[in-house]
Amino acid sequence: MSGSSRGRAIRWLGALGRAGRAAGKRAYALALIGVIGYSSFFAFRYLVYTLMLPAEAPAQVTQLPRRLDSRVLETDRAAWAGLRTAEHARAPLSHYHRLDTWIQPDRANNCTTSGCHPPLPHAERKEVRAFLNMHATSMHCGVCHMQTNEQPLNLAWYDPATGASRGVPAVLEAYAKLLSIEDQPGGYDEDARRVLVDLLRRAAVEAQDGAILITLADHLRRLSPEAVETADVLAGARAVLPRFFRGEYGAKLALRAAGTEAPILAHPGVESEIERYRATAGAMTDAERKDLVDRLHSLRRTEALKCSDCHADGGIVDFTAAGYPPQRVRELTGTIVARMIQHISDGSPFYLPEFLTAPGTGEPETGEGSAP
Amino acid sequence: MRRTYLVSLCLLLEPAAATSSVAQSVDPDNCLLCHQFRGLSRFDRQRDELHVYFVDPSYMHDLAGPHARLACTDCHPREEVRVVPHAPVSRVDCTRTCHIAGASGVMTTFSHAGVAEALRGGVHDPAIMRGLPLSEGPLLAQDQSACLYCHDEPVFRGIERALPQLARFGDDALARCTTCHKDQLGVDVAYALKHVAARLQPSRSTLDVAQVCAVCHSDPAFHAEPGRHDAVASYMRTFHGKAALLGDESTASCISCHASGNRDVHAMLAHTDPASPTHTDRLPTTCSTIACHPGASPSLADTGVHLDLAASRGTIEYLLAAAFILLTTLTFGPSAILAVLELVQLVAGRESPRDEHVRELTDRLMARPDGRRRLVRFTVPQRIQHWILAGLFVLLVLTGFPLKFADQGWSAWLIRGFGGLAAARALHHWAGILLVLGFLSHMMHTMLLVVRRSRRPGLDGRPTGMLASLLALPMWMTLDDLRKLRHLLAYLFFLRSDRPKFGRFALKEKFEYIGVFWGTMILGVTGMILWGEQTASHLMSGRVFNLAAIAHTYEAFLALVHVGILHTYNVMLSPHVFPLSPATITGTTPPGELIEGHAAFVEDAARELGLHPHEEGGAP
Repeated sequence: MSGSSRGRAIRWLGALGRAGRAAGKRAYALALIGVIGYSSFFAFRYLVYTLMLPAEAPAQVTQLPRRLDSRVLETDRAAWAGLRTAEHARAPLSHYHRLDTWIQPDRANNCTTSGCHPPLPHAERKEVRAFLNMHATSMHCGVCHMQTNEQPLNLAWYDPATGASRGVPAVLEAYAKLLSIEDQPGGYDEDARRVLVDLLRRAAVEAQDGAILITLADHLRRLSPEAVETADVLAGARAVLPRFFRGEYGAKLALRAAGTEAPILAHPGVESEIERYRATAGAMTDAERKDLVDRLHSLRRTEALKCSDCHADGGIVDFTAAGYPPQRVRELTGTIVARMIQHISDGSPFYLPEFLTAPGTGEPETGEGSAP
Repeated sequence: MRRTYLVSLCLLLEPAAATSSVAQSVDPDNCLLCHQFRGLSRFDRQRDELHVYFVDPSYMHDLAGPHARLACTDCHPREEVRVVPHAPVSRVDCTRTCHIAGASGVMTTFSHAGVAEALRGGVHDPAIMRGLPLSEGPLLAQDQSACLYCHDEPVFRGIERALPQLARFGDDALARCTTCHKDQLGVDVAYALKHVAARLQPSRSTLDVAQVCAVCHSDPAFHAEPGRHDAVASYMRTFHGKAALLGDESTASCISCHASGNRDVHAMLAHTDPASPTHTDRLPTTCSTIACHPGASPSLADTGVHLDLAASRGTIEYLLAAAFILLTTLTFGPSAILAVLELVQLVAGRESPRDEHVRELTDRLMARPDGRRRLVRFTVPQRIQHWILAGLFVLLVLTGFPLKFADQGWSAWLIRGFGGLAAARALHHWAGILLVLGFLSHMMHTMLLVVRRSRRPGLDGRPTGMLASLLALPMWMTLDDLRKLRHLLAYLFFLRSDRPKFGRFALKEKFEYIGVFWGTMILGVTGMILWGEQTASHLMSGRVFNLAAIAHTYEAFLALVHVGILHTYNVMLSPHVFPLSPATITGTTPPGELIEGHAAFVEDAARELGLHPHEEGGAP
């Protein structure tokens, strides 16, 4: 390149740089006009509103769910400003018992996210509908309603937020760990402590309201395995953990697809059919609608499982394989619960004092509930 | 320490077991066997109603409230619920008599019948409540207890606020109690402690009380009725409501006034009732109770606790607020327009023909030590005063504006950062005092300067005199400034090609100085009135507090927008000074700022130092 060409190139680059700087300066000035204009407008609007518009109580005061309706069922609790700001969040107005958390939403269950079925789907049989809905927090509809020839059922835990397959809920694992420590002299060492503390912390998160589990974890973290107090804290943990066997594990059970780890969360190939059903169901004949509904539920069992199919010794759910600790398995399949369930599923009423009293003791049975 | 953890854990895990001889069995009917499941519910799609049968077991396990030791069948008749699945149950009657174990374990009967009696004849009589017009229809079904209008399952508040010492050492204290009280002298110590601590403080936080009242009082259908207004909304706009939003518990809640003097809150009366603590005749006494404003004069009661400006048209409060908005419009508005017009010149790439000449002079002055010294616009004491003012201003904004915008999330965050509202207010008050003292010292410094200058001989050899010295201060707005303003507007609107030449202090700087001058006086005086409300109430009518609050808040807002938007633009964001003009730090004003805003100052300096345009080098 000759000297004059190089000089031209340098001049050209210099001019380009100056033009770029000038353009940048203008763009910056333009952005500042926007910032000043917007903030000034915002300030004036605020002033005028304070004078012209009647005072309104802020969301922290007014935004309490007024009634228990579908909004409560579908809205994340954090969305209600009034509940966040209250020291002890009120239950939705007109409801007496405290409801510090809602039912964990299942964003992966196609039966409900499709809009076809509500999250608490059982509504028909008055005697059993609430009991059946009790299972909706811990298992996918397909466990009872999808056809499979496998026995026991091939089940997988899944994350209701993502639908991804996951391991056994931490609270069940923690309890199993505690029992194994109890059974094994010297079983509580540094490794066991680390595992247990981690499991308790995870369990607290998954249970939504597990502050006491955090307290337990903190105590165990501080106490050495050899400390004399450790045994008492472990005993306390064994007493507390069953309180969290309430079907809210941050995980749910679903049928497992053959040969994979993946849970079955929807009938196969139904997306477009669901859209069609929702768009045109009203205009269909009964026969057409039935035909389409049958196609939408290609995996449906002809008859749903009964309570006693699972809640009995030798039932079709292998609770142990699903990760439930032995004591919990006994509670789920034991005689008392099985008898109660039999009554409920038969629609025959039973009476509190006689039924829920442990045989021969005259004392109330202290077992936990029956949903997994 | 380890022992403390353990005791704490035992009490946490098994509160009942800690005093087994007196504790009632949790859930004697084993209802939680089923009802502990949150999913024990159903959804009625037709009515869009969710029926939740869940009962939080931790309420009973943790003895979380005064009802925790009741059996379910104490409220739901046993004969109705002993059959499973239950048939529809009848309305819970809170006035029925239940059986409850006292702290010593002795069973006794208890009933809320007295509450029902107190409600009768008051404004919250269930008969009145059930007839209230609410926008979403009746709140309760006919078969629900009227108590649910205001109450849900009662929860004990923590002991930390009521018994902070015990909260700190409570584990050991309880361990000592249970040594005797566990078996022999049966008292359920853990429960008794929670109960007593809960009763030593309001049963709900101030904000929770407002939430309860807002259910009806903020309902559009309710306050649409003649003679009613959104009382909760207007309360939330006052200091009391804003403090409640920021978590302050010492501030007045609805109950503090409407059930003042230990009056049973259930027997609340309309403010028109002569027996009501909020009746006009009794309000002065209510405000000046020992718990609230004990040293205040009765005139304090004239303050608007439910002042809603929009609904007060024609009042002096409304006119004052309107005047401040007008003031903001007439001061901030033109300044903002000028700033935008200056930026438009930059976007258009426009330069004044004289800029090149001033730039040349500036460069030559900057090249000489005496030139740089001559171009320093702020003296060291002025720079120090500026940064003290800036620091106090920021502190006042950070501690004051969370109260103005108390419903915003950032406000609560900031107040927590300051250690609570009481700490933030203390900081605000003392920063305000320092600002006023700084203002007074600046005035004294200025006056001393004026006196000194007044003694100097003038052109005629005689002393200048006080008035002439005073008027010679550089921050006065003069007729020449107004002429330059007209010139500037003509330039900014492309009617003239050259920019006006400003001296050491440009027009906008003089304007800002005057703003700080009047703003500090208004904010200082009104702030002290509001701070010392009890003393001030003896000197003036309570309505003055309304006016002081309005003046304080609107003037502070004007100061914030002016400094936050325009001053920040002038000294930080403007392309001539970005990222920060060092004029008030090192004293060196950036060339761009000198050329555009202080051309006359540069030319004066050049003239004094004997520099002339297009002259090579500088005069010695």
